[in-house]
Amino acid sequence: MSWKLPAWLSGVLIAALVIAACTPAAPPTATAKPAEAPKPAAAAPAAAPTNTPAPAPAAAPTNTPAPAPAAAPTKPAEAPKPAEPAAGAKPAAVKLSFIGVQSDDQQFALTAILREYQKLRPEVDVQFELLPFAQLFPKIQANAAAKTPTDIILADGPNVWSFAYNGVIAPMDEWFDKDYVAKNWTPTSLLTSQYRGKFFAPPQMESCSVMWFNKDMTDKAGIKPPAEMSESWTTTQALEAWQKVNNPPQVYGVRWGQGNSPGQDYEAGLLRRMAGAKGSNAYKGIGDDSLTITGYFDHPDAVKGHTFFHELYQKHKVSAVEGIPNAWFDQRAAFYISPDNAMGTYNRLGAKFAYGNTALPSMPGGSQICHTDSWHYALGANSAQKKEAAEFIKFLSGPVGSKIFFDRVGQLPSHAELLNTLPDYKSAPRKTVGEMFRMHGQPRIVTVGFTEYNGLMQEFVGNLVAGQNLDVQQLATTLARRSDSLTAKYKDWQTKP
Amino acid sequence: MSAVVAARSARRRLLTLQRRRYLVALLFVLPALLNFLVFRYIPMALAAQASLYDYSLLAGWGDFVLWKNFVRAFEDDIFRTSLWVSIKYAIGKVPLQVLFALLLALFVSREVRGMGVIRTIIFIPVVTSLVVAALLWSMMYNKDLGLLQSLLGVFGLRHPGLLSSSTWALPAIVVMMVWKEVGFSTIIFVAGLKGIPTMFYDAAAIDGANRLQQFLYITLPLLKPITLFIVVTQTISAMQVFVPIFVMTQGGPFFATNAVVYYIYQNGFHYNDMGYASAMSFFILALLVTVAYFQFKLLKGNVEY
Repeated sequence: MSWKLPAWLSGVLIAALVIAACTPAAPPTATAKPAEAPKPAAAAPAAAPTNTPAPAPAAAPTNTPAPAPAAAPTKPAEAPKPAEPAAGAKPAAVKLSFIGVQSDDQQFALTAILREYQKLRPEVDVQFELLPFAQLFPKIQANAAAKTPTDIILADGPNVWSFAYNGVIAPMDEWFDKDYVAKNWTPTSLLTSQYRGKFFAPPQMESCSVMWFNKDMTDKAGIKPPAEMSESWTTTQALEAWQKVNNPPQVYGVRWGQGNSPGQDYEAGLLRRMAGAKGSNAYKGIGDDSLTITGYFDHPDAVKGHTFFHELYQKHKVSAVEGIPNAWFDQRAAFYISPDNAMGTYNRLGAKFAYGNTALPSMPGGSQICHTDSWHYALGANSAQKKEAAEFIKFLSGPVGSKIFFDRVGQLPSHAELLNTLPDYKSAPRKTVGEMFRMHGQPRIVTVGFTEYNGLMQEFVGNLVAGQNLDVQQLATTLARRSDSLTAKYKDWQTKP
Repeated sequence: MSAVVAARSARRRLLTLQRRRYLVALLFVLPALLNFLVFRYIPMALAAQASLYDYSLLAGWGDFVLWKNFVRAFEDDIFRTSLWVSIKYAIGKVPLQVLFALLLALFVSREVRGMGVIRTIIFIPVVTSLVVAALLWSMMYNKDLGLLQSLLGVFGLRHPGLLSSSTWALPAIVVMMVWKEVGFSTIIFVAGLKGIPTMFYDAAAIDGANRLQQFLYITLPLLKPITLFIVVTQTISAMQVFVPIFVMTQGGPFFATNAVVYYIYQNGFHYNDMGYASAMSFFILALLVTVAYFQFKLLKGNVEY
């Protein structure tokens, strides 16, 4: 048995191993470096909002310090590369880390906003780590456990309270005074931004679902969805319309919610709140302790809403039990419950049919409601550059950042001034979204235990969609008790230091 | 005297040589050992610690609860249901996969023209991303638009909606995963088949044994160590099933596919209860070690060649 390697070969192999071990890892592919950003020419029109009331002063938030003198170019010899703007040539003195959700729109808009910001603060650079939605929350959790000094965290609205309770994000009152906050965002948008009297996370954008319809199909069926909010359908009238156009498996009457999974609280949780009158337990959805859902989620009125949702799939069969990707855009569903990002998807997918929208229906004896909220910019509690990060957050969420974001993403802005002045929301189809948001917008239940609740809600919705011969009351009560049991650990949330 | 000195010197040289060999060997395995230490054993030790605490990723270390999380696992109906789902999945998948892999291996181990292409086709699903495969199969299974329904539609039939049925969802995932992983087991079996000396078959043929007898009394017994390897690794893998559940059914409907690792994930990441999730993980570890021990006992081959 002669297994011994020649000495020279051993040496080469060991050297190769050492070199391999010392080679730096490849940079993460999701990271958007400024050099990879869209060209300034492409970003410029978006960055120069024509409809923003006072672009120049607004672009420099009052609390943002003037660019540091040291940041001004002092060495002409170190000129920027020809393709880059002059301001981008300076080596960044401040490098902020940003963790957020991955999408082409997010990446484009965030990079464009950064470029605008660098005109004011050329010394600031941002490393974006953008992850698919399903991976973002576990990543934030892992970073929190490892005490990674992330500077800016893009938090989903309902999770802001949980992050604040657990000390994952830091309050920003130092940089956002009360007047500034009250002036810039609508009260609805601020319900999740503020936690126990402190301001934690300004909103990136807003949302509110309406009912979109394929006009070619509704015209053919002789259906005229109401054009005015005051004439909104009841769920009974809506069901009649959905049944008229229902022709499964070619075309279903309605796709209730984005994506093709059974759904989440955002859309699937609307009907149980609609089933209650404003201010009722069913409408509120959660107790005054912001933890208990037993008696609210499983209130007999709420169960009527759950049952209506269940029957769309199992009794009336106007919705596909197994989701169809892009059902409405591919004309596999005539009606579609979604926020106004439906318009962006419609354009992106190149759909070719006439469409319109109308308000979400109300339930007889109940109310009208749309769930609001979207992403928020939050300051990482472990950030070593809180001041710089907070200032960038202020720019991101301010009039310039919000306008750039709207121009790219096309979703309901959270910035009050922008929302009130954009012509897009003064005429159809976005007018319906704006009116629905102002008149009937409510955040999902606001609680530090939203993650637990939402996990259970996904399971519940899946069972409502797929289940046959269901005892909906029992199913709802079981979920409510499990949720209360899981969130009982937060009972100190109002007093925890 | 000089002979004794020479022998000692030779032994010393030998020992030195052995040590050098060990050193070189150690250098080669060191990166792998470091990898195991950093990415396996240290996290396992931390998980063991977490299982004794009210630990969550967001909130950090809570109270020391000793065995509370383990006791909770025994009392948790959903954990028991999830465990049973994983066991059913393993019972459904492992024998089916071993059987198909063996049949395919017998077929593709023959040296005929074009067999390389067939082997490649069988192996392609193994190198396909599991997430992509799960998404594609979800579409194929779709009640309204799926390929399966298109095929059934030719005969005027409609399937019940496999992934939305609490009866059919788990078998549907088993079928997908057998398709996905059978190629790997096939390759292992092919290696085993190639290792059986042909003289055994020649001798059996001279003695008048037919093909079936040769398979039953030569091939199968001599493949026992390979079968053991496949059964043990596939059982462990089956008990850890996660990705197809996450992508295709999210544990539903009505816990029909709520495999135990998915339930552990839910507790760790959705319910902010990593301490309890860690305790359940150790429970599964103990269960798998026990199962593997009995599989070794049952399948350990005493046939040598």
